[in-house]
Amino acid sequence: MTTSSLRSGPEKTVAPVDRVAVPLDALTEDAVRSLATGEPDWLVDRRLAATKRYLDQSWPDSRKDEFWRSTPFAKRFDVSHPLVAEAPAAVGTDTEGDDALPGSLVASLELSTAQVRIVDGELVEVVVPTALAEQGVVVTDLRTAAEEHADLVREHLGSLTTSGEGSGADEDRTITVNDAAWTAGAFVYVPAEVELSDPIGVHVHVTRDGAHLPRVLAVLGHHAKATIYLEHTSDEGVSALVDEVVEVVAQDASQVDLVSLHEWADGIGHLSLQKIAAHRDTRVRHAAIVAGGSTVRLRPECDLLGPGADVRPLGMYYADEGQWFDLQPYVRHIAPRATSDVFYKGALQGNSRTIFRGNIFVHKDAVGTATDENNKTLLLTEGARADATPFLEIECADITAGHGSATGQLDARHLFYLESRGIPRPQALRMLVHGFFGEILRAIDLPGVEERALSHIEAELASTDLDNLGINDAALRGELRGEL
Amino acid sequence: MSDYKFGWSDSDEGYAFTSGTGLTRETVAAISERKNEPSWMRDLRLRAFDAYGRRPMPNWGSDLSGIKFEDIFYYVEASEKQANSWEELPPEILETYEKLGIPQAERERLIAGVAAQYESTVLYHKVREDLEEQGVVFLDTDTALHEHEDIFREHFATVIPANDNKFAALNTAVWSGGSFIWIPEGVKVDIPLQAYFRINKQNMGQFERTLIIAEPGSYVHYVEGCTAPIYSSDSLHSAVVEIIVKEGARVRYTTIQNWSNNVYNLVTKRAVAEKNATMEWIDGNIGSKVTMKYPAVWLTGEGAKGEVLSVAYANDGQHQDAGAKMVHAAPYTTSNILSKSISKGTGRTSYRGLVRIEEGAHHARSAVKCDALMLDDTSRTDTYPYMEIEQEDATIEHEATVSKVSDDQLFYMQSRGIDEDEATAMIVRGFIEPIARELPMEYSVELNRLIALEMEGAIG
Repeated sequence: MTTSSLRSGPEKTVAPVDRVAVPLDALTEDAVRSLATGEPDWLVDRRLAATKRYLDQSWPDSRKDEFWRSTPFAKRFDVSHPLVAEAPAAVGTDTEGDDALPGSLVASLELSTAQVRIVDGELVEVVVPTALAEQGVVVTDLRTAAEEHADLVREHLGSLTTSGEGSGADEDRTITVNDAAWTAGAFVYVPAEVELSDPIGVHVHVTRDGAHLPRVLAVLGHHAKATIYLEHTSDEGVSALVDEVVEVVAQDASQVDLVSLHEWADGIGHLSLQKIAAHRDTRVRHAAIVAGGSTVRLRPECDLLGPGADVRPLGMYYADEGQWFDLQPYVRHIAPRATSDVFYKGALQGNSRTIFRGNIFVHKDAVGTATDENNKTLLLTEGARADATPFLEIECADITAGHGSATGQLDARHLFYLESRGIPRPQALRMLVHGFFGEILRAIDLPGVEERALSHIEAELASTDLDNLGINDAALRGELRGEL
Repeated sequence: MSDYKFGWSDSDEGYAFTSGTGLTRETVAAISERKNEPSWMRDLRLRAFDAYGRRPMPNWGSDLSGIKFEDIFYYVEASEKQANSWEELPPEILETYEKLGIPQAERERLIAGVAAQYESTVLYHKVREDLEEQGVVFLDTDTALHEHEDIFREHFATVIPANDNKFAALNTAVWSGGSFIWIPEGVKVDIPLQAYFRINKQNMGQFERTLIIAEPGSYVHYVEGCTAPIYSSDSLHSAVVEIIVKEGARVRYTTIQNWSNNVYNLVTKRAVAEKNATMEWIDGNIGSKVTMKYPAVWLTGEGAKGEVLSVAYANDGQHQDAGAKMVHAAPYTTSNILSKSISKGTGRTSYRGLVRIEEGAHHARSAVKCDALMLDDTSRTDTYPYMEIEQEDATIEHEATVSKVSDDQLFYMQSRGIDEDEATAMIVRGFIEPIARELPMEYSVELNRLIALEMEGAIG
């Protein structure tokens, strides 16, 4: 970390609140009041309004809720976890040699940039280089921001979830509970016209069993440009439910790249809504790299609210034994002449399950929309199950829309080609898997991300018996039959 | 509505028996008694009635809240007895079918057999003598229950159990009419068997039940057409079609439905394809207020093939929620779905489909293609394809496109002297051509004619 950084620990933020170890499924108004101690009245009122909704709602039921059809909520998520009440075991300060916290991707890039760390429901570190602060960039604790940047936070916090009038108004309880009881939050603000070249890091780390409710709000002023790396890691052997809500407001002509890395150890269930409001002429990319966690249900959502907005939801996932990834990119074309291109690629091995549930909605006023949605899945070994549901809902005829989905195995012809050129089989198989993901990694093209993703692919391949990978030889057999 | 070609209705008088409106256990028992059915069928109907009460209404797809179950006649028996020739049919019914153009094909012997159902009763059926001699059975389902009880009992409700879904349960409780076809081993019926269904009475529920059994190595093509006149209140059509395609057999089932726009058309159609068998559904959905129909093939035998070709046209106020299901439960099974939809005005088309590859169904392959054409800026189209893949060596592909009749295309054709309506019609004909060419000639002509009728004034 460069010496020009401003560092602030929790002592410089609002004093830590009394934390209550109330179970996530037994939240009460009193518990929420206690959580909200010291917050401005408007924020307390919002939490209480959300609590009221929470009390009226039930947890999702896969038989009743179409969006939960593929993931049985009660089996995959433990809502009896109490909110984490203890302070983090080790309040890391990001010093070299301190192995209490894993290094974040942003830190490893050795850039002079802003970073936030949230550990066990508490914001433990904020770093903002002076140069950024001088440009008006704010990266801070959400509670602090609710005081110091009240207008911004008041306008935008919850505007894309249950508090807003928009598409989040009928959210289920997994979102309402975060609205009511988020424990630690990060606020990022990039003022109008400010273009940041280095990524801002938001790192959520879990060391303790329990329910964790992180919250992130990012606001980009008009013509601003920023990249945010949202990282998720945990200690081995921890059993926790992380219920996260991320809101990104991209104002006119701004550009934002949000990269969400899911590198959990086993034992973590992760619910995440990452919602982006794309206003006029914005350029938005969301890239999800999902490689860890016992269950990850990720909803990257983009509302195209202004004409000319362009969004590119990208995803790369690799599920291994026991893992369950439910990925639900949702794009809503509300404004005319906006474009979107959803592209997800995944691989499965061992007894694992992935769900790709894409949704493209085109409102009747969204004339001139151009949208595409694609999902490709590679089934590498026995026991894996992949579901794909690429949906399109089109209310407007004056558009171009398409989607495609393909699920299959490595192609024997490609393997044959490589082997015939003297490349040993294990290496050839590795090359094919790398090649499969290469397309999506090239589309992401952000510093450090490709290497990080490749390291996960390598780790997965290292743990697998390459001799037992399934190879689709149907085409080869077909060709031979043709010759005969 | 005034364009609806089959919108006349015959006199409401003179039915031999009606169940009255609403449905109770007693009504179900009375239908069974009226038909003099064996006790196992009565018991099955009553079990289905209980299941109907228990099963929830679907909470997805179309809005079904407009169905007034208590106002529906569940069983209406036409007073006439079954006729042996067209000439013997009562004049008003004969006239109805004349208007539908049905006797033409029958007279000209373009088809191997024909059945015609009016309300709950099949009034006419005929099979070519040479086929009868080979043992082909083509009867209305009620007669078949009495004449071929063993085959019937062995297969009935095995593909679609009584409690499969709310509307299948309802059908199993009150079914009446429909077609029963049994093709003996190795017999190939060279030209289609046909049936026509018509709802004539206001507030009528039509619940025909079709059971087709193709013994090993046989082939049959069955074609049905459906219509209803226009009444001010809604009718319900809730059929169940079960098809068993045994080893190496092939069944092709073609429907062209042209319900008036106040019919709720909620149909369960499912086939089982055994080893190396082929099942093909060709499905045209025009008219109705709401259609929810997803022809399905359970590929249970190695090497079985399933195919669905469907075309749906949704005009003002209509929701065509149509699709297909393919369940691959055996190795080397293949399936193919081609769905074409056209929406206009406030019409809405949805493709809702499922491809499931079960564990152990190795080397399964499936390809799905859905194309939607929107004729104006007010209609809506959706694609809801579900793919559930539990076998690592499956190859599954899904593709969809949405397009509009473009100004460029119209301009091109208009510049060559083709007027706008005809140009649009040509584009639509081209769009549905892959389906139309699979139909028997007279149906292909009929499909194009029906779509042309629906399209009048398509371009505002």
